[in-house]
Amino acid sequence: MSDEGPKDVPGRRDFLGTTITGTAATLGVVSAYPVVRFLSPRPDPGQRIATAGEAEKFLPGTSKTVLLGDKPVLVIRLDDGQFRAFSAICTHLQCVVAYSAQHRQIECPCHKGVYSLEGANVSGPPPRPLQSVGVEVVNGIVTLTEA
Amino acid sequence: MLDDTRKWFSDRVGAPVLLEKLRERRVSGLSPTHFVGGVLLMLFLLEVASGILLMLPYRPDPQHAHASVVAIAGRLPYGSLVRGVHAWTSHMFVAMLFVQIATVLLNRVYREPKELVWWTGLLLLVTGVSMAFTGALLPWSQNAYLQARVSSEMIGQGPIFGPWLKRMLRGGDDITPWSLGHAYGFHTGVLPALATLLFGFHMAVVRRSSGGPVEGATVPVYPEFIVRLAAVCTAVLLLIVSLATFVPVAVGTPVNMAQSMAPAGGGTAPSDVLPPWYFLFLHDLLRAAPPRLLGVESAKFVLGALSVLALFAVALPFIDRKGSKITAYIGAVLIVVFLVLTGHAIL
Repeated sequence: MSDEGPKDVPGRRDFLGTTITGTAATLGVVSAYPVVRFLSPRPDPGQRIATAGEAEKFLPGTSKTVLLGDKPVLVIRLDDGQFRAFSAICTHLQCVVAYSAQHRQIECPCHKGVYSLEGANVSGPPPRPLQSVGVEVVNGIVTLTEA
Repeated sequence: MLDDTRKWFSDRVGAPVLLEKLRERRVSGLSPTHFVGGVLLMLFLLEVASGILLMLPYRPDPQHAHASVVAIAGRLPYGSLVRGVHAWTSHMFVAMLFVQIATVLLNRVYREPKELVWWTGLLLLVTGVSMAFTGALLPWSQNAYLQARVSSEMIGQGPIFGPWLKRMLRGGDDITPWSLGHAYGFHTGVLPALATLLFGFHMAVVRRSSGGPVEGATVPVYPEFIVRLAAVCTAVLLLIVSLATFVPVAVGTPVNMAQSMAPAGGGTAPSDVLPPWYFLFLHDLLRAAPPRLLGVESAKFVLGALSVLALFAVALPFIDRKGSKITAYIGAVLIVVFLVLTGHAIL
């Protein structure tokens, strides 16, 4: 079994080998792309608005966490009756933060990050303040809108 | 009668030939470290077997996942045992991987011609830890949910492929109900298949790279080595079954994405969310670090440092070529640091 062509010309086998390898490689890349994209979809824009119940029943000094699209939002009613809302996603490593009524601050359960009630990072590892979320009372309903 | 049956089979299957081959093959000794690889294989097979059992009653969707795990642990006959074996074996598997890696590091057996043994070993470690992490999310408990958020975000902070890898693991930009399906698919399909391939390839290159008359390899694989390995495996199995029986594995409270850890209306400070023991050192480092280190966000800094360490591990066969033992000392220091930090975090 030897090549038919002269010795100095690339043989049929070489040509076929290169063609087959090239085709296989191309097919591999072409079929890998849809798989990769399938596995990592782009973010869904989701809802831009959410509600956190009736303002009347939302007692001062308490909090609620609601979903705005897929993202948790922390809504706090301060002692003076004002509402504040922040993305509940910690700026350190995306753990979900909570309001501590005892310490009058926002705390992260994962790495002990602490934020003030203005959302500013006070102590612990968080590098940035919490992202704020628009909150207003519309017809007696606490309404959140992405800022 | 029994002998006749055995002969009938061995005539057709050729078992004695296989045993003869194992009789001819040699291992270099019978010290404890010689059995770690075999124990790891046994643990992996145990994970596959108990995992297949658990797949049957488990319901991989956010509506039913938690309830189905509660049912497995509480209502199904021996469900708690099967789940306990699966969970404890995973801890044992990661621990044994660490032991194996540490042994290889200290004995410097990653050098030529064992580079591929070392690299496939490192990949097995990554695969093993990934299996533990994807598995932890399956009960869809609040603690596992927060852990999954943090650990995938940590991967996202890694260089170059980080953000893409994070999105692929999460099945999107955030941990959503879709992420449970991703974790389940990776845990029961992708990762076990990968581990099987890696195990096969690893063992093949181990054989190849230690093929031929190795100096000092005098102990026959069969019966000396295999019989002792069977005894060691039985002891490990006994330990796992005892742990699964007497130390139940908590299921945790179900995920409520519209609620953080604090009870509704506040009142108490949020409780700690802790990773599995082998990541406690990282947890402590991340918690103790200031917001910024050398001008970089500390989480990015820690992950960057870990990436450099990983790169160092991969490049080790090229770095450590000559007779110098410096890398073994660095390895020893790293092992001590890991043990001290982990011990400190547990206590």
